[in-house]
This record gives sequence, structure tokens and C-alpha cells, in this order.
Amino acid sequence: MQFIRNFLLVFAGSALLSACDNGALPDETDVTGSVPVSPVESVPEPVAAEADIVTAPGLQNMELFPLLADAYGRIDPAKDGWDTEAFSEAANRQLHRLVEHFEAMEEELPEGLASPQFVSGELRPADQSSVFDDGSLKVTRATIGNQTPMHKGASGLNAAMRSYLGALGRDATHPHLKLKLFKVDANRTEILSKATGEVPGGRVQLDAHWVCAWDPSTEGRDPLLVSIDVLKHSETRYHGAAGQDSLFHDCTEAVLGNVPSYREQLLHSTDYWRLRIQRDMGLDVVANHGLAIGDVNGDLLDDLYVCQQGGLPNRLYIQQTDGTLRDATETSGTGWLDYCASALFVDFDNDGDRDLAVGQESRLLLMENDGTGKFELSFGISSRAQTFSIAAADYDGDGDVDLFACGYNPFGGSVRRGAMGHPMPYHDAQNGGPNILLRNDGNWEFNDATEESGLEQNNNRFAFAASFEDYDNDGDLDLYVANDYGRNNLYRQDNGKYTDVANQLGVEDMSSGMSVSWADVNHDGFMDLYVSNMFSAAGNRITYQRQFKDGLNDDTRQIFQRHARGNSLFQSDTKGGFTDVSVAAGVTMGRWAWSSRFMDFNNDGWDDLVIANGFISTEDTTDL
Amino acid sequence: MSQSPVDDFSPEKSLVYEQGWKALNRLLHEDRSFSGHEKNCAYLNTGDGTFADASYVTGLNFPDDGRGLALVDWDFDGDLDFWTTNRTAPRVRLMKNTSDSKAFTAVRLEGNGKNTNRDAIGARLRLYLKGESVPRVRSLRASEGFLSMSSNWIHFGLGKATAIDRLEVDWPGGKTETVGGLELGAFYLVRQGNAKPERWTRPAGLVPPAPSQPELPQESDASRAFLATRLQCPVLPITENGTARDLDKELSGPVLINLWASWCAPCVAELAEWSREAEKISAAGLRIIALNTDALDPDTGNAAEAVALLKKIKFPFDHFEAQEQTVQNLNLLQRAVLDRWLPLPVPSSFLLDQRGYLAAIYRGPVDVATLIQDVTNLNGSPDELRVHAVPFVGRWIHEAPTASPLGLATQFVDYSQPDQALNYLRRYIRTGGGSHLPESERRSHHADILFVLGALLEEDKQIDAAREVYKEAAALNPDDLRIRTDLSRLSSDSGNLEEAEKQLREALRINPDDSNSQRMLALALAQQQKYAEAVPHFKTLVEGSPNDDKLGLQFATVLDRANLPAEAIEQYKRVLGINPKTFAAANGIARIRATHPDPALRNGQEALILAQRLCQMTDNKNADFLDTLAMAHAELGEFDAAVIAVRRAAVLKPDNPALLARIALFEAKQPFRRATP
Repeated sequence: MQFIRNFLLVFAGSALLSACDNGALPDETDVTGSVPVSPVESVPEPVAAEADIVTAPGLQNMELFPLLADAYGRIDPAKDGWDTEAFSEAANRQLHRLVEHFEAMEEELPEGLASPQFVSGELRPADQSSVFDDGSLKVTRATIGNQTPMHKGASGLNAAMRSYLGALGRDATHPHLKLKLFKVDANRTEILSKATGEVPGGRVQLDAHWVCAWDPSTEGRDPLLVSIDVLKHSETRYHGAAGQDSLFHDCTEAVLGNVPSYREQLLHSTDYWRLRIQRDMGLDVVANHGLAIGDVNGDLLDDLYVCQQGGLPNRLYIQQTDGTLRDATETSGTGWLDYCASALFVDFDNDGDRDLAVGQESRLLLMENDGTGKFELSFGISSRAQTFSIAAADYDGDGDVDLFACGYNPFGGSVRRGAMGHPMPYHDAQNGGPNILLRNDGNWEFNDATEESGLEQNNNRFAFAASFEDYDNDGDLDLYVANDYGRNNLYRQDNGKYTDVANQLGVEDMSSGMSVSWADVNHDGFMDLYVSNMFSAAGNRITYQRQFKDGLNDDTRQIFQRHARGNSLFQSDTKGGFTDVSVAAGVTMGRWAWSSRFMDFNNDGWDDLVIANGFISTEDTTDL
Repeated sequence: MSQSPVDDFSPEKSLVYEQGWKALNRLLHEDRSFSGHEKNCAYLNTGDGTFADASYVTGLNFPDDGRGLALVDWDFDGDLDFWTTNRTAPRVRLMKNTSDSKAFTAVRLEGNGKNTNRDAIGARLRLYLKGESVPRVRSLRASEGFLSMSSNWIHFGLGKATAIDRLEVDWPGGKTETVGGLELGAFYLVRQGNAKPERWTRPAGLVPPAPSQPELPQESDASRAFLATRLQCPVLPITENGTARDLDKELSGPVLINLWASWCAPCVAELAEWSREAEKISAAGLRIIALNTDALDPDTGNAAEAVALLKKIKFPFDHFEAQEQTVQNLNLLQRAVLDRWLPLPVPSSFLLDQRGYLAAIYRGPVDVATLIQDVTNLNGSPDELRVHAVPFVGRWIHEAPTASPLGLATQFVDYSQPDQALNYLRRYIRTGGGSHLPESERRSHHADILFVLGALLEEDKQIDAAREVYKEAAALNPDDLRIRTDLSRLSSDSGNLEEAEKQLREALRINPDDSNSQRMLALALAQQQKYAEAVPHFKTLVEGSPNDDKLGLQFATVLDRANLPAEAIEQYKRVLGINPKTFAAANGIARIRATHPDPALRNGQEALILAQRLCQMTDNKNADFLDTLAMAHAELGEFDAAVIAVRRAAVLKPDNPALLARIALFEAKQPFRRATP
């Protein structure tokens, strides 16, 4: 036992949700000088074999060390003694069959899906009212009353589903149905149903929340559907005036298609590069790399900076008058090859052009713009931890912009001082890397003001994102920090000093915080807060079971349940406090959400939400 | 997460949790999907406090593994577009908004650069529409979402509005100013101190971006990685003419180790090409060792046929039969170097430099031109080599790291081969691994390796050898807490508490906040009966973990033994407050109350109540509690009852001299008094 513990300490540093599994994070690095730009070299790509390459013989007998093999086994709840998960899996198989049946447009329902006792009302409730209509986007919502049982028996299920999908419209093409089982209680399951289809000049989607009852499996037979009850139902339609099929269109190729680095670097996935650049250069599977938009050459057209993993240069693309981009990476001096998470374009020296801040693995670099989009390194510092989001604001009101960096994993060097490798405990980790606030003292001098500003309070978490905003409308900038594995911080500013009031105001949002966004969603003059987390169907299924950490007190159990709930919307109460309206507003389901933010995408003055999500997609079909 | 400890942070519980992380982590390296294929989401604010799912109708339901997302009206057509970054390909996307509504106004702020920053980051804007008293509120923020910064243009969607009354700007560090004359559908520059905005029009020449799906390139299964930081290749066992031996010295390159099978067409084609180009290859100074795997899978392979095949193509280089361990070693070697762990294919080739360190991995076939180029670039400092190890031009801020042999050692351990790990690390040290490093770095690098070597020896029950290795490690890096912890543990296990104490004091010198060392030191002192010295350490620990009843009990006991009875009682009571079932704490109080020489501390009645309750709860089956009961009776002068109780204790613990002495004492109607130092 001791031995394994030692070994783990050596390789501490949670790679799963972090960017660094390179054995250890680098120690503090000197950033006063930089290594010169590399000469050009063509890289040969091996000739592809005609036949597929196959696994070498001799690997079939490799056996994992027992404790680890056991841990592998426990990752799949269905194989870890969770009866409900085994049931969910069987029910899911049935739901997939049902979906396949409708996608294949078969007339007859296959045998063994519905019980002869099956019963349901209309899955598309008749009583619906319009809640939104701006001419292009239309939303109707159903009022759920008593559901008259009208579809009965195995054939009833077929009729109910046909009638439901009929709501997509007779002329709908590419109909698609997705049923997500996210809660289970004995033989009842809760399901999110999403049916979508294209219609001439637009699209339609039906979103519903159902409760399905099942006749449990017996030997050799999966469970049979006994009933479906509708809890929620809404329909959203889009019709573009110009006949466009959806509100947004991918136009990447139009602006980047002729740029070689786009084709050679950015059209390859992270996984492609993970076989072609060694890990020591700073690559990982998670690939948390962001972007910054800003005008770097004074033409008021926004330019684009893309952060990349180690071994691949960050890219600076300048917008030209025709709207396309040209690659200015080399001429601008911004093609950092080090692992880079984040960047900002900010005029740090108040000379009228936007300079560049770069958040690397454990460093912050500030580069001065000469006004034409050429940058020189002016300041660099070790950030005390693995850096993720960085945020800038003039927190002390002295007329220049200061810089805040989120710290995630502590330095690799700290394991030699006894630091723990993994977040402990998972639901309320207090062993993360520190955030840092750099005060701008002019002439490219920045000093660590974390302690003096009060931001050292609760500065021991796994911070992913931060954003400054004056949430209480008192004229100074407060700061919200979203942390992974537990509690977030809301630092309220009073006369230049910050105090963490997240707990007091009920916005700790104990979950897996990954992003922060602000907007006045309800037009009351106060900023509201949207925080991204992970919605987990499996998490929702498991944490509501008695078997989950049996003996756990209800408070802690609720914390785990909360971890699977998803994104959170905190509405300002206009008195300096917040109300959690996430569930009522219907905005929790962001899946494994990274950037989640407010955006008024239909120009009606009400801020909507867009969410970039998904953790690791591979060709592997069995999702963990 | 279902394995995360909630309140039990013991090494055993933590170990299960850590192993869970490790397994999960490995699966991600091994190409398992995890919350994969999730579609991005959009929610429409319906203005009534709720939102409607609009993911599909907006077209945002594409399944990228999205990360960053930043807003900008890229084409200045009056609605917000956005860029995303992704883990998957394409790594960036521009999503253009085709909203029918162009009801907007957008402003760019410019601060005076004195009391207000030029970009006016932190500005608050309130836009009043004609006929409306409630403004639309926006702020300018640098950073929002995750790893993302959006455009500085501030965009107001205006819906059905017909006219703008005014814009109020709270300039950060400055005053609030009112800006008039704004119209719908226009872009404005707003300068601090200037109430009149400047209307701005995008320069002519924009080609509205046309929609299309990015065309992803066809990706080859074959891959090459040229390495700047290098790992020593482990010894490779082979079979030559029926005899097993190790390739060791032969691994000093430049040499290419190739893994092949006779049934694998690309393997054979590659070997044939190398045979034809043998002269060129040798002229470049490269040797080749082909290792055949046919014998490892008799269903598909035929070792004799493989030899015949090499003859037929006149393969001029060395060739041997691979063993299972050979393939496994090479498989684990590639895992130690690459982040993505796919099973090793045939053909695979490993280019080793002069020191026998891995310089390039070719999964799948490799052509001669590539090989020769890589041999040409074989040597240099890690910073020089890095130029060839990355596919594009760029600049580095940090120096190339030193490859750690521990990565491969971990791989061996994970596959139940600790002996391979041990041999690998020993060979690394023996052959001067890390000798290129500057003195101080080399010392801590070697200390890290010896630390793991010690753990491997311990696992192999070579405790004395392990202790020596740890000592060597501590001499190399006196500031590594982990080494001190292990040395103290070994010393403590062998009964050398003094040495354990010394090492733990070192550990606390390295990190005064390390509670594990603090706890171990406190216990080591207590075990040595240095109670007074242990007290301050326990005090710190208890302050850090005020709800830990076991720790509290240890502290109380140490206070008791340090002859601080009042403090001990206070601590015992605190422990009972945390966990009322801590019998030992109640017993501790009862003993002090019944037997302390200081009459001010004695309270026979209280002792009796506690002792009776303890005996009752343990069904009179606990000798210590019966003994306490006897002492309490004696203190109250109830010597008959005392004798009965202590006799019952003696039945449970026969021949206990202390109990026998107490029987005599109580029969002589004398109370018991504990000795004090």
C-alpha cells in the first residue's frame, strides 16, 4: 500500500481535468529571456500503408496491477454493483430500439418494446400557448393537465410516437429523435426527449420531459414500456426571412480557408497531434485552449488570437478589409510554442493599442504592441500554479489595467513538499493552486497584489474561470471565480479590498465550475450571473440512489446531487444578493459545459445563452 | 467521484480514490470517449424569466468538444457572430449569425488613458430607448466564459425599438457621461469627455462570408514523432538461434529497432526498401535491428518463414526473434513518451541515439528519406532538438524539460512488472542518466529517482536496501519531504523512534504546514514518552482538524500523561462533544477525578457516575472500566463496592499485578492515587 502511495505522489497532478500529465508540472520558470525563433523545416509525414496497420503480437498477456485493474472495473457503474445502472442500461437499449424504429421509418413497431398493458395520453399536449414570437423564432409551451389515456397496448406506443413526431410537420426532413434517460427510481425513469427536423426555410425542435414506467426485465428479455407521462413539453421553431435553414452558419472556411496554418495545424484534432508531438512538449488530451478577439493594428476590425498546446504555435490572424484573415503569427512575434491556455488583448500601457497577455502552463507573459500588430515581450512572471482563464480590469481605479490569473493545479515542485496530487475531497477540494492578481504599476511593472487586495482568502481551489463585474452597482469591480471540484468565490470589493461573500450570498454553486458570464437577463438594471458546470445523466441517476455512498448524511448527498445538476443562473435580487433560478429558468442542461455565456443572438435586447460543451469525443462508441 | 472520500482521509481510502483517478486518467490516454459527442447548446431568453431550448433551430447543435467561445460582429452586419475553439477538429470555428433583425447599435469606447484606461475596460453602459425609463445595461469586460475574450465593440440588440434617447457611460476611474445622437443600425466611436459620438462605417470591400462545412483532411494511421527530450530505451530481451539474451550495448546508436511480422505486408515492403537502400542507410551511419514477432502468435505467424523471407529480400542488417517482453517494453516506452496510448502496431520502429536514448518513434512504416533526415538531426541540446520535434515555426519561453525515467517505471508498475521498473531505474543511474544536468538539478533529479527506487525495493521487501537508497536520496536533495516521510516510517517500523523523530523534524522544516508530518511527529514523541514535547504539535493539529475525535482523544491522553490534568479533562470533554461514544475519553476523565493526588481535581461522585455508565454500556465486560469504577468507589470511601468491582476486573484480566495490588489496597480501605512525575 505504502509503495503505491509513494508512486502516486511522484506522479501527482490530476491529469484528468488538468492540462498537465507530464510527470510533473514545471517548477517556477525564469521568463526574462526567450529562446529564439526556430528556423523553418519541412516535416516528413510517413507514407501511409496500403493495408491498415495492426496491433503487434505479444501484447495480449499484459496484466494490470490488481488495485488498478480493480479501479478500472469500478469506473463503469453498471459493472460496479449498481443494479439501477444495469436497469438503466437495459431501458436505454429499449429506447434506442424505439429511436431506430422511427429513424428507419418502419410502419410496425418491433416486438418486445411495449407491454400489452401500455398506456399513454397524447405525447404532444394539445393545450399549448405561444410564449415567444419575434417573426423568426417562435416558442410554444404546453400546459400539462390530466392526460386522457388514449393510446393503449403495444400498438398504442406506435400511435403515440407517430402522433408526437407528427408535430415536426408533414414536410419535415432529417427527422431525428433523442431520448436521454437521466433519472431512475425503481421501475420508473425520467427521460429528456428531443425531436428535431428541418422544414422548408427553417427548423423545428420539440423538447419534452417524460416519466416512463417499465415492466422490469426477466430472463432473456429487456424491460417493457408500460406508460409514458408528459411533465413538460415545448416547441421551438425557426424560419429565416431569407429562407436560411438555421440562425447560425459555419463560415470558417470563408475567412480562413486559404491560410496554410489553418489547413495544416487547425484542421487536425488534438488527438492527431498527440501521436506526432511528444508529451514533454506540453500536450494533453483535455486541450483547454482558448482565444482572444481584439483589434491589434488600429483599423477597428477585430483580429483573432488562438491558443494552442505545447509544440503547436499560438496563431495570430489579422482581419483584412474583405473580412478574411491573414496569418501574422511569425511577423508579430506571438507564435509561442509553449502550452497556452488563454490570452487577452488589453492596452496595458495606455498608448492606444492593444497589447497581449498570454496565460501559459505556469507563466504569464505580457507583450507590448508597437501599434502595428508587432509584439515584444515586456513582462513575464511565474503564476504560482497552472494557469487557466485570465481576466483584466482596473481593479484599483488608478487608470491602468491589472491582471488576474486563475490557478488550477499547484506547481509540480510542491509534491516534493508533500502536496496532494488529486483534488481532495472531490466535492469540496481545498488543495488547488493559487490565483494571482498582478497590479499594474506602470512602465510594464507588475506586482503581486493577491494578498494586499484580499484575494488570498479561500485561494486554494481549482480555478478555471474568472470575470470582473460590479454586481452590486456600487461603482467598483467585484470578481467571480468559478472553481472545479467544489465552491466558487464571489469577491466583493469595498474600498479596494476584496472579501469572499459567495457563501453568504448563496452563490458558491458547489459543483464543477468552468466558466462565468454576466448580463442583465431580466432588465432590472443589475447584472445576473451564469456559471457553467457539468450536467451528468449518469451522475443524476446514481446520486439519487440510496446505494450511493450509503450512510452519507443528506446534506453531503445533496452536494453530490448538485454536482450533476448542470449550469446555474443566479439572478440579482437588486439588493446585493442573488436567487438561484436555474431550474425555473430551464437553463441547467449544458452537458459537460465549458464556455457558457450570455449572447443576444436575435437582437431583441434580451440576453440568450450559448454553450460550448463536450469533454472527450473519440471514435470509441461506449461513452464513459 | 463515487470513490471520493467524504470524511475519511486515511491512506487506504485515499488510495482507492487515487487509483480511481489513475484508472480514469489511463482510459483518457487510451482513446476512450468521456462525455463525448455532446452537442453544443443555445437557449433563447423568452423575456418571462424562462428560456427555451434553441440548440437545434439555431444550428449550434454541432458536436465539437468546445472550449472557448468569444463574441464579435465579425462582418459588421448588425448581429453578433462568434468564434469557438475546440479540442476536436476543426480547432476553430466562426459561426455567423443570420438574424433577420438588424435592430441594434454598437459602440467602441476610448478612455483618456489617464484616470480611465484607454480600452475603458470595466465601463458600465446604460442605453435609454425613446419612451422607456428602464435602460439596457452592458459592461465592457476583458475575459468572460472560459479562456475567452470577446470583441471590445459593445453591441445592443434593440428589438422593436424605434429610436434611442441617450447613452450613459460610467467611465472606470472617471465620471458618468451622457452621449446623445445615437441612431439604430449604426456603429459609433465614443470618446471620454466628448458627448458627441463619431459614426463609423466599416471600410468598403467586405466579401460577406459564405457558409460551408470545413473539409477535414484524411488522416493517416501512420505517424512519426521526433523527440527533443529523450528516454533511455530499456534492455530488450531477444532470442538468437534459440538462445535468449538481452540487447543492451547494441542499443547504442544510431540504430533503428524495427518490429515486424511476416504476414504484415507494409512490414515486408518496408524491410525490402531498406534492403535496397542499405548502402545509403549505412552511409548515414545508421544500423538496423529487425525484431520478428511471428513466434509470439503461432496462429498467424511462422518464424521459419520470416527468416526465409529476410533471406529472399537479402536483408543485410541484424535480425532476431522478439520475445513477449520485448514488444511489451517497446509498447510501454512509446506510452512513456506520447500522450496518446494506442497499442503498438506492426510495423513500428524506434530510432535510438548514440547513448541508446529514444530519438524518434515511427508507428507504421517509415521511408528511407525520413530516416536519414532524422539521423542527420539526431544530436544537439534539447533546445536545438526541439526545432525538429515540432511541426511548425515558433518560439519557446521555457527551456526543454529533462525526460524522466519515472514515466516508464510507472508504466512497468501499472502492468505488474516492478522488477522491470527496478532494473530500468538502476540501469539509468548506473549508466550516468541525467549527468548532463547542472549540479543542483541533477541532484534533485536523482533524488526523485532514488525515492521511487526505494519504494520499489520496499515493495520487494528489501527494507535495508530501501533505507540506504532513501538515505542517499535525502543526501542528494535534503529538501524533499516525501523522502523524509519514508525514512521516518522505516525507522519507526524498526523501532528507531529517535531517528523517526529526527526525520519528521526535517520534514516540518521543509514544510511547516504539512499536517501529516506534524501528526507523525506528535505520535513519535508520544511513543517516546516525550509527552510535554508532543503537546504543542497536537495542539496545532487539533486546531486544524477540530472535528477529528480520534486525534482529540490522542491529544487528551498525551495531556493526561504530560501531567496536565485540567487541560486533559477539557480535551476529553471536547472529544465527547464531537463523539459521545468515545468511552476512552469518559474513562480518562473518571480516572483523573477518582485518583489524582491533587484533591482539587478529584471528584468521586462525578467519577462514579461516569464509571457506572461505562460499565453499564459495556455490560460489565470491560476490565478497565470496572477498574475505574473500583477507583471511584474507593475515592468515595465505598471500599466494599470497590473490592467487588476490582475483583470482577481481575476475573476478566487474571494475573494482572496492578489489579491484584488494588484488591489489596481497597481491602486495606485505602483509595488509589495515581503516580505523578
